[in-house]
Amino acid sequence: MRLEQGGSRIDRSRTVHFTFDGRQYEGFAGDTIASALLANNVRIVGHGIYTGRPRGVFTAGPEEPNAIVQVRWPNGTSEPSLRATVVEIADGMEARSLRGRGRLDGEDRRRFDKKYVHVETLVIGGGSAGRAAASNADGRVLLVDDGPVVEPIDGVDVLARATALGIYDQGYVLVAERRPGHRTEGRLWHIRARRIVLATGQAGGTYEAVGREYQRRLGREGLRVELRSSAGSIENLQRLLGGQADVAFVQGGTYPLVSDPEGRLRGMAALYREPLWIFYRGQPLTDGLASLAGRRVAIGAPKV
Amino acid sequence: MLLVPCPWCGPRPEVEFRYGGQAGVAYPEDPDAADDARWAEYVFMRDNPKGPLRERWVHSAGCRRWFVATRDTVTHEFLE
Repeated sequence: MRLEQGGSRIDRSRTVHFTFDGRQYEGFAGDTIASALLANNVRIVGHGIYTGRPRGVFTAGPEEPNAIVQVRWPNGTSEPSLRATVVEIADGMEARSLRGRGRLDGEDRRRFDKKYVHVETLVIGGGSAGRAAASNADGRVLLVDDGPVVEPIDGVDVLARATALGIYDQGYVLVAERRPGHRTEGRLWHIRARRIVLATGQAGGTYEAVGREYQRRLGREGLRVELRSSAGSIENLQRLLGGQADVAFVQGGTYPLVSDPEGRLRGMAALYREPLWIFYRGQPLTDGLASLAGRRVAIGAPKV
Repeated sequence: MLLVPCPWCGPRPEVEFRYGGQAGVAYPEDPDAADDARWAEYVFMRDNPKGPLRERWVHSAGCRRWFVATRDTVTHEFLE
């Protein structure tokens, strides 16, 4: 299913026809194979390689482990092992779900080119950290991002649909750019950078990663930041009140749980929205969260 | 890919260069008197340090100049 409106990456005025596993589907320009399939209520995009259990789309980007497809492009080239969450649909494209490695078949008539550039600062990753790093950098700055859209930044060259493949000696970085609809369908950028900023996020310990980023950034301004880990938001608030910390990351909604009669604490900025996941055992809840009234709900580390 | 400092052209990509091996390996002073071990020493034996190594390079796809550079074999960094 698809939302009635919204979606900044698709153009609803242009429909695109493609096939998946032999069936014809319709999507909008800018859709990835995955988003177009979900819009068409296709939930199963492949099967596990060992037991053949059905697999659905799992992510919204290049980290996709399930929706691996073989794509036959309109010009006859067939390419295996592409992630449906990355490849944008095109008229006449034939995709099929892939179990195992797939194979190259047909002659590859596509054209590719390459380009050599030198930059002062190369930023890999176009999220908020990457964008901030890019706009603070001096000299010639290039920002590359895997996603299809990167908002332009003043004084910064930006490259969308571009995957950094490797960082080699002395600031040498290879970046593969996908260029659907161009005469050359891909371009390999050979980039020599004086400085490389990796803004690709880290697995595990989000707050710590964010903290390290601030430490690094503020360190450049001459501010020394010491990171202290704690059990969680409430401990952080208590440390703030007790004067053991000057700044802390705190989950929204936890402030009422500590006592601050003089109103000494101030919020500085909201970093991001955080979904709250609630897991439970047993029968499906009939009227949502209200069914949990009177039950005990574990919400993380207890008060310290 | 390394960035090799050519004394004439400045830092250039590695593909423009050929490697000339360790620098400062002297030809035997009295070749007629050198025995097999001495020749083997001259022809085959090279230092293999973990760290700075003086080595010869030629900018074959550029100014064609031979020069000596010191490279750290651990970090691939050119020193000096």
